Amino acid sequence: MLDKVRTSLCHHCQAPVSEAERCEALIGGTLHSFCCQGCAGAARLIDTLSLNAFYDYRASCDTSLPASSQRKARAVQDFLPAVAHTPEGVTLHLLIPDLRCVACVWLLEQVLGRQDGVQEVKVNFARRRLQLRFNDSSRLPALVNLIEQLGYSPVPDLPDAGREAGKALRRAQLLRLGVAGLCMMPVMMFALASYLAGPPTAQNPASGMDPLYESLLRWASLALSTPVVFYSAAPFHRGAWQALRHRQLGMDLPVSLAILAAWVLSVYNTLSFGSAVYFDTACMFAFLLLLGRHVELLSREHFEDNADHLLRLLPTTARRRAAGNDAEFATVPMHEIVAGDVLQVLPGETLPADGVLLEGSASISEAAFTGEPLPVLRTAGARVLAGALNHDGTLLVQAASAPQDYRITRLARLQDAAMAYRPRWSLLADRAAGWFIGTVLVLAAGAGVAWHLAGSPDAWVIALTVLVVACPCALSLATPVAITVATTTLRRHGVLIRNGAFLERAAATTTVAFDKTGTLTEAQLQVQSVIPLGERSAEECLALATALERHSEHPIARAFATPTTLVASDVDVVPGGGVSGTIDGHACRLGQSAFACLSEPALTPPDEDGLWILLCGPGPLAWIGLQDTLRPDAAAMLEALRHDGLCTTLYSGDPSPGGLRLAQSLPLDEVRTGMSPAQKIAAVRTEGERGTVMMVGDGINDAGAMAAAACSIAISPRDVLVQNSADATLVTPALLGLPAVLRYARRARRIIRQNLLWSLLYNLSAIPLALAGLLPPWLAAIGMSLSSLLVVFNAGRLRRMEG
Amino acid sequence: MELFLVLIPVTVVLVLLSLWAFVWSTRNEQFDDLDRQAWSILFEDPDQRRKQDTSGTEPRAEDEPR
Repeated sequence: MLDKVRTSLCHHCQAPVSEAERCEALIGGTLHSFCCQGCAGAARLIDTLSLNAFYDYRASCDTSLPASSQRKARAVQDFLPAVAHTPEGVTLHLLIPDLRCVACVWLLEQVLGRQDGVQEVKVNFARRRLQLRFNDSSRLPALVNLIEQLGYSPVPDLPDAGREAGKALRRAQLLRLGVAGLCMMPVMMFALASYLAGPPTAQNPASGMDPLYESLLRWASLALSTPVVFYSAAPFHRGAWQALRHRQLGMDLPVSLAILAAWVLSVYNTLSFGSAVYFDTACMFAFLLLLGRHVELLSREHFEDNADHLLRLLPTTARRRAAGNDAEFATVPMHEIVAGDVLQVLPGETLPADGVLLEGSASISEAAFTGEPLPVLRTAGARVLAGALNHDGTLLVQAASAPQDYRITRLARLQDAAMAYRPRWSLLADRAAGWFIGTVLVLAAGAGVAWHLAGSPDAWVIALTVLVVACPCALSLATPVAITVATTTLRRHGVLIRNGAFLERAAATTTVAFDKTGTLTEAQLQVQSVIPLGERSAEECLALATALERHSEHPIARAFATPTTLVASDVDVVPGGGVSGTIDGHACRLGQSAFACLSEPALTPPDEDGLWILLCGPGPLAWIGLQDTLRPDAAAMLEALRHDGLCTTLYSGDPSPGGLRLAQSLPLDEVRTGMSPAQKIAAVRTEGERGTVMMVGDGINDAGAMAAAACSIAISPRDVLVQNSADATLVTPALLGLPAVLRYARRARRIIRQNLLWSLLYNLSAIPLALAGLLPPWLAAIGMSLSSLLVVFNAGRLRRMEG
Repeated sequence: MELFLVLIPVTVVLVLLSLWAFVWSTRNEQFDDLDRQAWSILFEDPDQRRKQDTSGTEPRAEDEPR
């Protein structure tokens, strides 16, 4: 029995199916619809291998990442650098950016694992890497082809010193964290025993426990805490020492000193059977700080992976014209390109070099630089950039520089620098802590000397108690723990934070400035109006246009999806002009008026907003107006911001009156259109003198305004996670996430302030008591643990997004 | 209470054993990808499923689609 399933989503890649390209296939007795032949082929292949369970498994996975729409087969030689020859066989390393869920991992493992000669398939889902070991390098093309047939776009994963170092760092940090965690648990359990045993007695100055067991517990704690203090906490000691060598009191110094002081005092008391031990404090402190650092590293790595993708826009090889022979092209690796080389670029390929177009013309999109998805016509003599996509022409490009000087390479380097940058507030906290620890050191030494002069036998213990009690554990945990929890929570809700200062500044935001295209609008053209000029109706004209545009790859073509039975023949796509073809014996042309209308003098478009193209067949038939559309939740989001008392402004680069009208339909406090990037920067600066500005954009062409604003957040366009320069990125397409993020940032700031206040109060009240010798060391240890725990639990309240 | 004299050293030894296990598993990339393994339990290997279907002598109603 045939079940005809008609869904609007592609059965394989789950992208919306456009009527124009829809195709159907019979899979396992059911008729499914697909968005393209590629997807139908993939589903058929999966069916032949009887792996249909993939679709069931996928249904249970969270496929929040969108499918990639652009599929571009790579040449086999591109993959050769990613192949390693080992005694056991040939290993291929691939990055698969569109690995969307664990079901995909399962599918790849099943399919590849069944191929002859494949020895091992390892898929790392978190990092989207595939490692494939097989016996014979001649199988490489077939295996890569198979992965592409399944609908994935594998990219060679080239060995990279930076990433290798990152991997080593992550592993070392995980080891430190694990050692600290595993040792902390029993040490805290041992400590609990002596806390529970009650106050000191005449027999035992530490607690009410039998001295034999007490010292047994202490020796066990000593054994287990030593690796924590000297292995896990080593980065803190190293950081403190390096700061000291540069004559600075860094943030690591109090941490390192507190851990060491707690441990040294405890060892001293264990040996001399003194009053109290603080092994648990040292361990817990090291563990919590390491945990914070690890989470921070993981969230930073997420961005570094994306930074890699920027350079991955570049192809790995190029076709270079041979020196003597103009018609001969040799494939060379990217790094061999030098200034002056003439390179050939075929339609659908990415430009391999910055340079000048020598021959040919084509629509080229430079989305990576301008954020503008619409391709622009470039003709001979124009300057082009590496990383831009050539849509439809065969080009000859003369390289102007070597790859290390490409604009895209410089952009990637700038990004690296931005990532390594430490926010100002963090440096300020360092300086404050340095001052604080300096005071504490003087106080502790002073107390020790004073009590020694006064003849007290406990002078040494009192000095160390001051040091322990004054240790700014809670103070130095207060902010990082809260930020760690907040970063993790936001990431779970689809907000990626790159700059640690983002939360702090977002909480202080008074004005939110928006970019228009791609932020408040979808950045996708739709047919807005049709003005018939001839005898044909608007519907007929749209049908004709759809039949023509079906053959075009140009982004404008996506706006046409009218169901039609008309078929165009003799279709010719002219870059920068339009489409022409024959429908039912009529020669039809669609495009700019000069292109579409051959005989008559060029018509002027109706005096209305938007982009107008003319349909002729052969006489003028209709003007078709295309316009960008507002995101459905833009108005609701602006209302929510206004309800929270924030000022909203729009800085748009679009000079058209239509853009202004579109913006004026929204509840904005201020609208300015037709602004150049420099004007945007100036406007943000002026606004910044009155309050704190948050810039919201797509993060590519408004990078300058984003840098000028106190903080920035990028909203990713509908289906791609683009590279951007913003402090944070909203991954989910729902705009209403933005007011929620701002509310959350304010709540995070409140909790950080509570934490700081509490830990300051604790330190300020405990230090005088310890100086006076009134604080028994066991009470100091409990107080220190409790104050840190309180700070941690308070930060834990941030695990809920709302509240 | 004398039992503690044995139990506490035993605890220390157990912790050292788990430390060794942790270090071993980290060095062997066991923690590199945590998502995939959590899901794998839900995915059957189709080869095994087929084997199960053919090896069973009695008809297994729950495996057959109705």
